[in-house]
Amino acid sequence: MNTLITSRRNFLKTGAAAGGGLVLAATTGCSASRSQPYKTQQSPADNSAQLNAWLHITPANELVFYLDKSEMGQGVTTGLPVLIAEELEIDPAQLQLRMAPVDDVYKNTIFNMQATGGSTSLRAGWELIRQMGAAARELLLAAAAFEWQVDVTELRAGDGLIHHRASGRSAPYGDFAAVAAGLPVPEVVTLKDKRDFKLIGKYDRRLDADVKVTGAAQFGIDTEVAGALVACVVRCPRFGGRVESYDAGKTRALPGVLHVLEIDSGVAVVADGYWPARQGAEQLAVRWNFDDAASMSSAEISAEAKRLGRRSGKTAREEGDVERGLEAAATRLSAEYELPYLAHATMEPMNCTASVTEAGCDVWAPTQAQGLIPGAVAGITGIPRDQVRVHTTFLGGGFGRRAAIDFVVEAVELSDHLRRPVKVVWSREDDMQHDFYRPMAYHRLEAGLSAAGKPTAWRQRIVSPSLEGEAAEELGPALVPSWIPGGLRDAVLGGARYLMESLMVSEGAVEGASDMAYAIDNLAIEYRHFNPGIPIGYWRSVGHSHTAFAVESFVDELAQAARVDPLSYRRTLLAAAPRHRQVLELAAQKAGWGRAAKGRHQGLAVHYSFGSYVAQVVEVSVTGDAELRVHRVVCAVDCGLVVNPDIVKAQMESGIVFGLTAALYGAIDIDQGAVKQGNFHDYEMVRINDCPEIEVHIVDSDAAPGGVGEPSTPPLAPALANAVYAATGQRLRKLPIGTRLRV
Amino acid sequence: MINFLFNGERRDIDVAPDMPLLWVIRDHLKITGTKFGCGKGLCGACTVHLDGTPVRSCVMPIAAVAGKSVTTIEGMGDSDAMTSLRHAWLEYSVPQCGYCQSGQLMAAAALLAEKPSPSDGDIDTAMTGNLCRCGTYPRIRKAIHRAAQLLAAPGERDAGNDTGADFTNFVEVKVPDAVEQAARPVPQSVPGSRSGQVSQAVPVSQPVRKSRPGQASQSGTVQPVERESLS
Repeated sequence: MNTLITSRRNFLKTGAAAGGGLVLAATTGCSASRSQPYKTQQSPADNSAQLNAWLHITPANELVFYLDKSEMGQGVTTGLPVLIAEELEIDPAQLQLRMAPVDDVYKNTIFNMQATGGSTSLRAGWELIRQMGAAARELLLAAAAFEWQVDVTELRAGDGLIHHRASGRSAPYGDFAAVAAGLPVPEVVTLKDKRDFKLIGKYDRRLDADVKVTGAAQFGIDTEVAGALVACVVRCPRFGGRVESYDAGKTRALPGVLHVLEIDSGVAVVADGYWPARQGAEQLAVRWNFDDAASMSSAEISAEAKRLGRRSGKTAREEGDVERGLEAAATRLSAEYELPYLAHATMEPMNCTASVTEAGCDVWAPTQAQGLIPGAVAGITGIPRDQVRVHTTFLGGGFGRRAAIDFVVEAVELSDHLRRPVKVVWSREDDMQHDFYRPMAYHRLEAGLSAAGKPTAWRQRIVSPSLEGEAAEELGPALVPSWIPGGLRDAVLGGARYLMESLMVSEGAVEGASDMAYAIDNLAIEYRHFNPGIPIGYWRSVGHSHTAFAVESFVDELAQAARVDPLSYRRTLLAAAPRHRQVLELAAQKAGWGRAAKGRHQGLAVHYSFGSYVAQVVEVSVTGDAELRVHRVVCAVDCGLVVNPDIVKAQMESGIVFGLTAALYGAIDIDQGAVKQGNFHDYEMVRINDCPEIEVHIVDSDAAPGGVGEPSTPPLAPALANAVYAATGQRLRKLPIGTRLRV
Repeated sequence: MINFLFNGERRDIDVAPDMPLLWVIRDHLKITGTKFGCGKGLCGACTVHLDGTPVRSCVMPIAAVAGKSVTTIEGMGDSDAMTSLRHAWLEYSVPQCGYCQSGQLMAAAALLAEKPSPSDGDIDTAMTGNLCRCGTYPRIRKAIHRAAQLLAAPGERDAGNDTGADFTNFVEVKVPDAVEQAARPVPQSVPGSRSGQVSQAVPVSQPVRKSRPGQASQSGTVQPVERESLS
């Protein structure tokens, strides 16, 4: 049995209130007034009970679960309900799901902010949410024992009912909720043992599938607030440019256009619908000031990265003596790998609805970063953070894009100015050209091999922008305490960026290389900072999306130079990494490694990220006229203990298609500080007709749950490039590959 | 004034003739299952049926649907094809973020109407215009094949699998009183505006065929008429 001392911060003190309702205050140090879920308690009319910040039970037996993580496709609206339902002894489909408001109680325990990302939802919730369910169950049992005047040991919770065996009596949880909320919260709860799980590891439905096959699911763009206007914003095509002046004459003459005004990000056209706002935006003549604008183009960025890569950088990891290892080598190899900027291209374009009034500010947003919003709103409007109410909708994709709140800031600025609810809607072109991109990366690798083919040294120099430096400046204003005056704040944030970039290794640029598992005695991973002035952000699997490509391609090159099968070569170097080996062997076995059909060729890769191990075998064919076709991807994953097996599979499939789109087509090209691509015709996606068959195999594991939203993206590109090498003898070291190979 | 059938009900709408059907549906009729993805007919998120044929509503000027019948995901009701597709979609847990799925289902329903037992090649042809950034393609393919089986043997479908949780109050849309007071209604006619005037819908339950074409109802709106009489 797994007994845990529950952390007091996650529970609520209970107390009686005037009027017969219940007032519950979190013991987190935040004030009760900021704790939105408890608000309804204060109405004497509502006799419902909040058993903790996640669970609310009404006398009518409605079981309301407050989700503190955003649903962007990763399945959190199923995963977390399954965790609480397991301990609460209910069917997860019995739950009414509501998005939680912003509150300190919901801070993500992994990055200490209320946010969704980094494949953390299940990892962060794994113990916490089960504890909430178990504690609620104990409270309900104790309340029933009190009501029925029996000993609690005679009672059992099951199927949403409390059962008394001796009398055959049973009653729904709702009957005991009010009493339960008045009882002291248990200090210690016992979580179920793995062998007693009824749902965890078995539940194979998605609770949000129903509302997503009828068109009923409410995304941010579907927010309908009475009296809301719609705004389109014209932003400077070159990053860092400002509005010099604008002529809105033609725009204002258009029917439906109500306001044209300048905001921080550009010029906004506000109308009574999207279409007039968009047409107005197209008619707007803006003169831009490019004094501080980015000016580089892709070719220069690439050349400069290569130049920087010639000199050594800051050390991210160092073992042994690389110079000596290289000198001792029988053979030396070197290679350069290059990856472009990438857009997120979520299917739902950026949007946000905000309403600023005397009563505070309401924000409806498809956001991954609820925790940043109150601070940002306070900075723009002067409204105290505790009068900012964030309503999270379904997200039409996130992939890290919605960890930035630029689109929220626009809506809040406009509503503050106009004192009307305003919905800002981006076009696809806006979305493509004003993203926070996956940074470009240049990797320079050097290795030595002994006569027997064993690596004697590995040096990897990574040239890429710093996500931490960018974050310090972009996200900082929402995080810095509001009592710090504006000027000082800017200085602090500017300084933080400078320090991050000039003194520190960017973890977001070296992760996946600095922690690589291959046993090589002399190893050096170096980082060189480079900032071409293009906004960057978190993109599904972050740094792993480029480091895995370089590491797993170069290991293949070493195997080739050593004349050893790539699978055997990796197995030898992973002797001390059993979980890597296990997924590698499983993927190879299921794919029939080395036994591809005639005309088919295989490549493989293995990578650890976000707490999970993933190996993939990609099978391709290349026709006579050099056309590449990807037929099949076999994936093995060890993500520790699995909560929803089918969602793990779905996330592996999703990350593979995402990685394939990037490897085949993904490139954001920069022309004098502006993005060239604009829509899906020039930023192409894998479509159903070029999507391979995907097979996913899950390793049975008792280890703590790992993430699943991101870890299947990194191995795809190197496994694909390795398969193309097997097919053609061509080493592809620059992404994207395209479907037409050079002959 | 442009009139057309929308999910079986007659609508008269007074907007600019070049306004895309998508924005009439979303901003004027306030029906939001049809999604905006690209605005250029490149992603399929806005797919609706025009007289039964799948079209991209983001590039279809409203003037082009005059006298025709437009059906969105909400108007598919319990048609055999859509019921089978939804059943299969749930069976394979197809949706992830879900944003593209209305369009996927509308494209798939049109495919099944034409080819009740489609081949992989048919699926490629019919579905290639519908992007899914979550990469649900392998499941979409399986689910279309499964829906085709269910169409042929509807008995299997009756078991049902209503496993969804209650999302009715998922997002709080009620705004505080102060907000409602401050939020004045959108002006229905800004000087020179041709937008914003939409007739009220007649409830679906009202018998459509009993009313005479063009007859004004008590509320001053126009009664539904049969499709043939619209042009």
